[in-house]
Amino acid sequence: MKRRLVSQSGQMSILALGLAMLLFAVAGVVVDGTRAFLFRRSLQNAADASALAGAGEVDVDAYYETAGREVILDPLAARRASLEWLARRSLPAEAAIAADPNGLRVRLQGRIDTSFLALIGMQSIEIAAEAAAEPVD
Amino acid sequence: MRGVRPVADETGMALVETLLIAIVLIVPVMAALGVLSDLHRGALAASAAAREAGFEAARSGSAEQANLAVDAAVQVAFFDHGIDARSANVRWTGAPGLPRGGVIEVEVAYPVEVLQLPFVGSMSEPRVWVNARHVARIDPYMSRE
Repeated sequence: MKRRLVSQSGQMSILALGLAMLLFAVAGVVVDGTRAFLFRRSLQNAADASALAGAGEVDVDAYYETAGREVILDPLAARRASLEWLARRSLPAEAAIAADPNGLRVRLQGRIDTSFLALIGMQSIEIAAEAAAEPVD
Repeated sequence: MRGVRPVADETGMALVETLLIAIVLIVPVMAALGVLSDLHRGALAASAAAREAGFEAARSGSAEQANLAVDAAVQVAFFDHGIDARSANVRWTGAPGLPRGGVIEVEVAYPVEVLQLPFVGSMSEPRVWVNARHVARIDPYMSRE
């Protein structure tokens, strides 16, 4: 049986190019993933600090009226302090703060633009972080 | 053996092509991934250091204690990420006397060497500085001895 001889020149180049493109795609995911991860970390740090700042706003009147037996939050002051702390970080994120006498919850939500994932249609990634704090005696 | 031999001219071509493409494309991409991982590690270490230093400084009773606490927190945070903290720049600010309810602001910067050669290691230049900042509040009802 006779086999046709076809030149194989350049076949490895195609294979290696494919591998390089795959590596490039992985690098792209790493870049955008890292950026998203770091942004989430920033949001979490800011949410934690904001929640802790808000949890320091104890309702002093209630505290003295109950002779120190009850430690509750002043929700308005807690929310104000929490927002003030977020403003100090000036992060590109929307904040939702829920405060009541028992504690407060801070949720930050932001969006970052992608570089490489945009090539496959994912223009941005939505990131959120949440933190809760309550006053303790 | 009779018959048609494979094209003799192509002997070793695959090796040459693979080496060529590897040098031009794959090696730079791998090197870039290595640098990115270093940048990621540096950024994570810096943000952890800023966060912990902020919390520790906010719990300190005086500026001297806060200095020590910030240094220790930064050392530990960088050590946890396998990085020597000596090349990191740390700066923290707070109102004199660290009043209750006051603000502590910590900034950490760390230089990442972006040029790394096989068998040679990292070069001192060029560098990319990764920065992290954290703002913490001193507890308004914190007890101090």
